[in-house]
Amino acid sequence: MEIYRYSMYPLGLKKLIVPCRQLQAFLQDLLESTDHLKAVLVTDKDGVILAKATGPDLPDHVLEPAFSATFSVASDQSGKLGFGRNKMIMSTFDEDQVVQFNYSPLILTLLASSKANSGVLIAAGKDLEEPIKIVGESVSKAIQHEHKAKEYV
Amino acid sequence: MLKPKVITQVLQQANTAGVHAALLLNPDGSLVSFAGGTEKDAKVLAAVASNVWFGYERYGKPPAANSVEGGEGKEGLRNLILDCEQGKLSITRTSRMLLCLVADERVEWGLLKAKTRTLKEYLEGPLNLVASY
Repeated sequence: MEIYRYSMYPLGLKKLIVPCRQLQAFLQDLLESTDHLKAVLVTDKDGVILAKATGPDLPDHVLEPAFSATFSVASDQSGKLGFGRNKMIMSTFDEDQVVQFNYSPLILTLLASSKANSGVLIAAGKDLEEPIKIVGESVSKAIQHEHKAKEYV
Repeated sequence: MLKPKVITQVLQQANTAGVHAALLLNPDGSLVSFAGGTEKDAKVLAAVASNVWFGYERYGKPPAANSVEGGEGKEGLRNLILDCEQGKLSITRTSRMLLCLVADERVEWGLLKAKTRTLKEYLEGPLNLVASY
């Protein structure tokens, strides 16, 4: 209880804000340097957005669908095929393509036009693995701190 | 009439260069025909492939950027590729059925996508004649 009374954020969450801002800058760079890329999102497995970069002509409601939650379920299921853990799912639609990476506990989603080069998107997603894993560790620590704080309430 | 033996022979042709199974399945996940691997494995693959495909078809579509908020204007799913630690799966729709190719992790994306597309186009015509229900 004491922790929540004197601080705006729980202890772990405060430490999470800095890496999230740095990741946001990485995503913005990627968006600007990749052709036909419309949006880059980093979410948790429930679809809650931690960092995002979107193109200027992309309305917010485009990111509303449960992209990450769908991926999360599909990724869990494909883990039962006997091919080991799922790393990535690429879905191609009439006008768009979505590439999603499983960087547990986080998910990276790249939304691009179908004209975009799929190989470039996959390579870009792999390049972001390290920074996302750093944020992922901070998220895990923040969750642990929160659980500990709740034990004292 | 569908000739199961001929379908299996067509599917078998995709099983080269790292691709080790090709499956044709109904939208409900029941197996129509397969080439490569055991029947037990094929049934599991078909069930999971169908589930993942319809999950993405229902909830994984990005609405068109110019669509009205909360309105329709969603796109159709064309192809799905799943990359696992020890294998890759490519799923697409052909006629009213689903086609699924299973490859090992060393197979290149482009090759897997091209094989899936070629097989889809080859099967689409004949399957449209029998699966128009």
